Amino acid sequence: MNELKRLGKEFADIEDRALDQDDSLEKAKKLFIQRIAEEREHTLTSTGRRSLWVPALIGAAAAACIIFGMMLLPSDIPSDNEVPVGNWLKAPANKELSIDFPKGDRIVFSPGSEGRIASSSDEGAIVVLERGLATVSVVPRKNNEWRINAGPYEIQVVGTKFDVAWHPDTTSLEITMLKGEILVSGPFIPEGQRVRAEQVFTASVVNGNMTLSSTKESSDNNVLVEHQTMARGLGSRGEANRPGIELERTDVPQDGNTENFAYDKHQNVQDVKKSGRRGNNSAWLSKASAGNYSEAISIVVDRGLAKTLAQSNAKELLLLGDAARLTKNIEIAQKAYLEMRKRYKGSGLSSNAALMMGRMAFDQRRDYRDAIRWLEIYLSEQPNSSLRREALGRILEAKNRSGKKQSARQTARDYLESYPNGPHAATAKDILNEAIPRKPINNQ
Amino acid sequence: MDHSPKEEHTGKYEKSGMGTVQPFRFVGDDEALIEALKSGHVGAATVLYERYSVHVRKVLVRIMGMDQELPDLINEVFFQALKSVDNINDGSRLKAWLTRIAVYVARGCIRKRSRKRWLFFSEDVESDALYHYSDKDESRAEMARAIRNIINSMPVDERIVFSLRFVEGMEIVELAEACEVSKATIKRRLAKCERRFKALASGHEGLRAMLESSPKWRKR
Repeated sequence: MNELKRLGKEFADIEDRALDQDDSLEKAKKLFIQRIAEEREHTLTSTGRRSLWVPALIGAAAAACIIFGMMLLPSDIPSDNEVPVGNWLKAPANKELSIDFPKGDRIVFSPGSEGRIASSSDEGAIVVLERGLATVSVVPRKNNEWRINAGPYEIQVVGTKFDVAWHPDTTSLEITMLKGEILVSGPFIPEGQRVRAEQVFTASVVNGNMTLSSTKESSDNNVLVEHQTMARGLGSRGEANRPGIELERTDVPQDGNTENFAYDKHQNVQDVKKSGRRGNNSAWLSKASAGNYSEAISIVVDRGLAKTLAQSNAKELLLLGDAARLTKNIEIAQKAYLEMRKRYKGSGLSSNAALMMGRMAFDQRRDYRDAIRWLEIYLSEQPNSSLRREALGRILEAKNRSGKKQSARQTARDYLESYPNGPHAATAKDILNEAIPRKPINNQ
Repeated sequence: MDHSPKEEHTGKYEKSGMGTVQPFRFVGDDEALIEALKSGHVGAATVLYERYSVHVRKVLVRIMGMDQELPDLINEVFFQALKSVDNINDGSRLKAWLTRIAVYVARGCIRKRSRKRWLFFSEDVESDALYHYSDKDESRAEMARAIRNIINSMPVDERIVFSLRFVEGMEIVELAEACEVSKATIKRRLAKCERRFKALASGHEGLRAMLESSPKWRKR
C-alpha cells in the first residue's frame, strides 16, 4: 500500500479520536439556532422583505429547538412572544410529542401524528391536526379562544380534555370527550354539534354520516357503546339544496333507481344485495364497502374497468374513485372521477370528483398546475362549500410551488380576507410579504 | 436551553416527553428534502443540518485541522447552502454539493488568515489546535502533530487535495468535483503536494524513516 496513504490513514485515526472528544458540533448547533433568529430579525426589520428560504429558517429555529431537545416554553420563543407558528410537527413512530403552551394548556400528538400550530396568542391558539391523534388539554378560562382544525372540521374549545383523530385519506373524524364540552362544526353541521364528557363523535365527509355515542361501563367492566346514528345533515333538516359535499341533493340523476342517496357504507351493501342490475358489480362493491380497497381494485381490473364504469351509478363511481386513489391506482381513480363528471354534470358529486382530482394532482402526482385547475373548477361549481377554505388553501400552496407568484399573491389576499386565522394564513402572509419592495438605503 | 423530560406515563407508548420533530414528506429522501428547501418548507433547513453536519465537519477538519473556528465554519457552510439551494436539483448530488461548499468555505478561511498574518503579523491560530492530537503512544501523537503542521504549511490548493486524498481517502473524481477543477488539475496538484510533503517530512525523523522505508520514495 502506498506509504503516504498508510500514513494518512494513521493520521486520520488519531484525528477521528480527537473529533470524538470535540464539542464543535454542540457549539455549532447553538450558533445555528442563534443565527437563524438573527437572520429572521435582520431580514424583517431592514428590508421588510423575506426571501424564499427565510420561512424555512423561521420554522427551523423552532424546529431546531425541538430537534435539539429543547421544550417549547415561553422563554424559548422568538422575540415576538408568540409560540412559533407555522412549523410542521410530527411525533416519531414510537414516541408522543408534547407541546406545552403558556398558561398550562397542552397538546400531545400520538406517535406518528402530524400537525401544526397555525397561530397563538394570550387567549389561546389555533392548532391544525393534519393526521393522526392528538390529546388536547385546555385549562378552563374566561375568554379562551382555542380552535382545533381537523380537515374541514373546526372544534371550539373553552376548557376541556379530549382526544381528536383525523384521517385525511378517508376524511374521517373522531372525537372522544374526556372532560368538559366542545363544539364541533363542519360539513353537515355548520351550526355546530356539542359533544360532552363520556361521548364519542365520529364523522366522515366522504361517507356523509355522523354518529354520536355514549360510553358506559357494564357491571363486568366491559365498555358498551350505544350508537345513535344521526340522520341529520343528509336532507332531514331541509338541506337538500345546500352546496358543499352534496351527497343529499335530490336533483342528482340517479340512473332510474330510487335508492336513498345518502352515502352510507352499510346501506350501500344492502342495496347491492337487493339490486339485480348491479349484480355484476357486487363482488368489487362488497370489498370496497368493507374497506378492502386493494382487493376491490383487483376485481375491477380482472373484470374490466370500462365495463365496471359503464355499470356503476354515481355512488359507485365515487367509491371506485376513492378506492383507487387510496390504493394509489391513479389512472383508475382518474377514469372513475372523470366518468362521474361526464355523466352527472352539475351535481354535487361531480364537483366532489373535481375536488378529488385536484387532491390527487397535488398529493400524489405533484402536478401543481393540474391541481390548481381542478380545485378552481371545484370552487367555481361550489362557491359556498364548507370545504372552500381547504380548497383555497391548497390552491395557494400549489400556485406558490409552481412559481405563479402574482397569482399566488392574489389568492393569498382572497384567503386572508375570508380566513384570517385559517391553517394557511401564515403561508398567505409569507407570500404577500415576499412582494414588499426593498426600501432604498438612503431612506433609512 | 435544556429542560428535563416530562414524567407522565402514557400507557402502551414510551414515556411522553420531548419528541423529535420531523418535517414530514421528506424523511430519508434527499430529493424531497431539496424540494422542501426550495419551497421554504419550515424545518427543512434543520433536517439538512442534522443529516449532514457530521460530514461537513469531517471535511472541514481534514483541511483545517481541529480548528477553534470550526463551529463558525460549519454554520457558514450551511448558510451558504441555504442561500444557493436553487443551484441543486439532484438529490443524489446533495452530499457532494455540500462537500464543494465546505471546500470553498475552508479555502476562503485559509486565504483570509494568510492575508491577516502577512499584513498584521497576527499569531498563528492553527498552531493552538495541535494539542488536540494525542495518543497513548506519544511518538504517534508527535508524528500526527508534525503531519498537521506540514499540511497547514502547504499552499491552499495543495493543502486541500493532500488532506482530502491522503487523509480522508477521497477518489480523484470526487476531489475534482469538490474543488471544481478537472481530474488532470487534481493529478498535477497531487504530484506537487506529494513532492512538497516529502521535502518537508525529511526534517522530521519519524516521518522520514517511515517514508524512506517505501521504495517509491527512495527513488525520488
